Amino acid sequence: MTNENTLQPTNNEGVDVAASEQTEERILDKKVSRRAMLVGSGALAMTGALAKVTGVVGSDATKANAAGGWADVEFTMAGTDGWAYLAGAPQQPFFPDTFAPDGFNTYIFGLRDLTGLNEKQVLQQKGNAQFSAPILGFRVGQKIELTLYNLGLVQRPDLVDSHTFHWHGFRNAIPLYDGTPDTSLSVPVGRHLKYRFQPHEAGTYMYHCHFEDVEHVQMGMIGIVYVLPQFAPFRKCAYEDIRTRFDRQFSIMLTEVDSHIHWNDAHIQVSDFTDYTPDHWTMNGRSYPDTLAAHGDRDPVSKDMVTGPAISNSAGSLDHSPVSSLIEVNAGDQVLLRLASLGFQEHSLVAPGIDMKIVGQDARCVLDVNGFGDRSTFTNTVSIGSGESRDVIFKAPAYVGPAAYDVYRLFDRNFSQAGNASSTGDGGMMTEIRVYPAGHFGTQAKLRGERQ
Amino acid sequence: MNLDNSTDNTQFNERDVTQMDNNEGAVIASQAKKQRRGVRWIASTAVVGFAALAVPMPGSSVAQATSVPAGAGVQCTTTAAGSAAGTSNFLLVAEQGYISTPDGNSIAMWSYRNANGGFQYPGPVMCVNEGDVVTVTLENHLGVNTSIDFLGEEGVTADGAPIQPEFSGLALVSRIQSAAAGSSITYSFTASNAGTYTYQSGTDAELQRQMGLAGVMIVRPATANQVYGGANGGLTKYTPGREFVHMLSEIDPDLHLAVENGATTYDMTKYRARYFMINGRSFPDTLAPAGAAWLPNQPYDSLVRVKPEDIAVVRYANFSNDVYPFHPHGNHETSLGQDGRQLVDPVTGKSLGLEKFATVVVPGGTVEATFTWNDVDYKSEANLAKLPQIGNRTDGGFWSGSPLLGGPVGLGKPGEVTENQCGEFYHVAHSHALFQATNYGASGGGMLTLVRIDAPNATC
Repeated sequence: MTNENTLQPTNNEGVDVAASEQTEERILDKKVSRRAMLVGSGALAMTGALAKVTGVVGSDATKANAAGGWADVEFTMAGTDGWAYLAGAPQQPFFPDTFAPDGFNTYIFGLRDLTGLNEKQVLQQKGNAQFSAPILGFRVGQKIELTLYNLGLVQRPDLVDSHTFHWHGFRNAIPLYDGTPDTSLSVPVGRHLKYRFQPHEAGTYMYHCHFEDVEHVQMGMIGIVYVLPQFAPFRKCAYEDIRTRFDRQFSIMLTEVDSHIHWNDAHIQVSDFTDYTPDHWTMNGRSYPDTLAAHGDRDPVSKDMVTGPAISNSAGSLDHSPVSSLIEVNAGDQVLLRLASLGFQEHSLVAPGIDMKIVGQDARCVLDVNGFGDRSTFTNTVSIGSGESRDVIFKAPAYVGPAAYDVYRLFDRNFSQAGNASSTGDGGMMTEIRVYPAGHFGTQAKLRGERQ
Repeated sequence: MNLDNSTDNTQFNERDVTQMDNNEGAVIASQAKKQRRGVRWIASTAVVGFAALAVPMPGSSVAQATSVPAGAGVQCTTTAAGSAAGTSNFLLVAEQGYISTPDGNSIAMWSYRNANGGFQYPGPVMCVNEGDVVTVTLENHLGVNTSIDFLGEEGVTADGAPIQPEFSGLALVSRIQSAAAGSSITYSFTASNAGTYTYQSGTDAELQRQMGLAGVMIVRPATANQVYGGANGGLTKYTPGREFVHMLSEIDPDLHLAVENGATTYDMTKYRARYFMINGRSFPDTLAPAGAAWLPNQPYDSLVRVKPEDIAVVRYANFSNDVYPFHPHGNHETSLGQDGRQLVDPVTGKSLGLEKFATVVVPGGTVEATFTWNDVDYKSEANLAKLPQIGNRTDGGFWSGSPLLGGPVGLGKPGEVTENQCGEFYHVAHSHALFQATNYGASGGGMLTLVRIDAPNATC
């Protein structure tokens, strides 16, 4: 129950849209999402609209949006602090942090998706940060409105840092929605700000808080945001190019953790960031073997931090690290890996036995398009630096057996980064690609993180 | 050394001067976080808002004779007067001097300067034409042997002989012929390929480049306003005047202090860079005018200034041992070439450049990348969400008060001012290894600059 395709399917995924169906009409002054509108009958669209409105009753933030009628997608995020669990050997006195609640060992700042909660419920999530932030997925042309709350910090009430949402790599951004505090606005504690985006280019991007950037990024306010093409036949392609078609998609945010810096923030100490010396390496905020644990999806109207499948492991709680990096595929599937790094180091990911093709980087297709020559490459090592992204496609190998699935590994071939903390041994930036017999999984109907 | 450089400008307030007078990097590192946050935008008020007040520097060279408002682009040193056609001649001096950092530190540097100019870091941006016979004479005012290694150029001679390593017995003492202390040497070569090149010391190169002996040479093709010539050079066109250089470097102040005190070697396992620079300055000094009086030894700014639809070119060069992932906000950059060669498929004529949101510059390497900004969706307020009232938000120092390009300036609060005098936009551009976007660990500094976007009809 850990695969992306086991998440609840939606009835409007995979429907190809003819150009003639494109319309910007609104029905009965209710916000109808562009996608719901495009899916077909008025009745279905109305159902979608009502369901959407029902989901946000009581939210002051989203009420205003519905009245404004601009956005196709509205969602709510909040920045706050909290605690996460990372696998790894102790490093006294910084790791594990003795201030940490049971089950956790590392102080974090983080961004959470709180869409569907009313304002009171949102404010109650102070101190429940997530590491790393949720995967966000959109379509080209969608009008997106984000309401970003700053809930303040439980552990550090003396720090009144603002927060922002920087969509890293967004083309032709205006400063207002770029989220750089110096050139635009940021959100003080207890306040919120609305951001609007309308992406025009598919690809794998990132988002992070840009306030006190070196600190807030290192502390965990980082996530992947990807944009899919809008129209058939490219709706399950990385880019508007059929050669980037995929059956399954997986997104992995790479970063490092310097536990000394995290400890400093929890213990009211100032870090010199030029001393940056990470000791944990993570995929989606988890170190191996926790990278393999199940994905925890949040109930959209729950007040709880994380619900869904139990994702604890034996050593600690992953309740604040809900994003799985396990890659489960059918033999022969075309698999898209979206890789992005918001650590400060270079990483070289290798998947022995799997021939990977880099078809995009930094949200730009590198096949022969747009007047550019073909710069795509086959490789088994994907190099990725700070603030970069890669789109990698591979064809899953044939199933051999006899186990239920064949295991391939994806890990950083800088072996100290495929390890944890102060000990040698496997860990850190590593996950598994599990290849099942053809037909084992059905269609990956809802892509992880995709917003409707 | 000018310890009070900030006080040259009357626009600094008392809090600023206090901070700038602090000359101890170690003290800076342990300062309370709040205090760190206070200073940096005040300093930038002076550098951008009052650029016009900067005065010419006495005795400075061609490149720095007067201050030039930030954002004017590359400040070339060109061939000496009276040079024959097809030749470019330079006379450089290697010597020790000092630079300052935004947190008030003072760093001893070794660098190249123009013979008729003051000490400067980095070395002069020498601009020559493709095909020129380039002759560079180096006078060594340092206490040790030094040289200039024109990596990427072919057929280089030193005092008329092909360049060769220098040995003392079996020990390599210089990668190329060097000038002893107090003497000079002349290098010559034909600049046969357009592009951007680094030049640096070839003697005790790890230490001497780290000490600052580095600079950039730009080789221009015959066709104006493009980076490369030849059949596919048209792919590298840029808007006239929108040509910028970002020389990236870093400093471990302990190493520089040791050398200043006479050390001839340094234990590089102890190396830890604390300052990160573009064109020899750390943010916010990166925004001060070129030739600013209060930065007498750091003549080059790195503000990128464009209007919508302009094609700006940024020539990146890396003077360090680290890889820098340089991230421009606002739009992707497209690389045109690297290390003096255009990125193009010679058969199809298609660009092999990459459109990236992190331009990666490797140690010693150069990259030319273009940048264009265009307002796609936000020409009208219909696409803008209602802004919170001013008490419910934190305004940045480079926020104009309006979401619209060229929009009404002002934050609407008595006594509040904005840097954006013409309603222009600013975006940041910085290393995304974010500890490099700090001054000795304090965020919002280091290898960071701004992109200024002026409204199409802007008159200021």
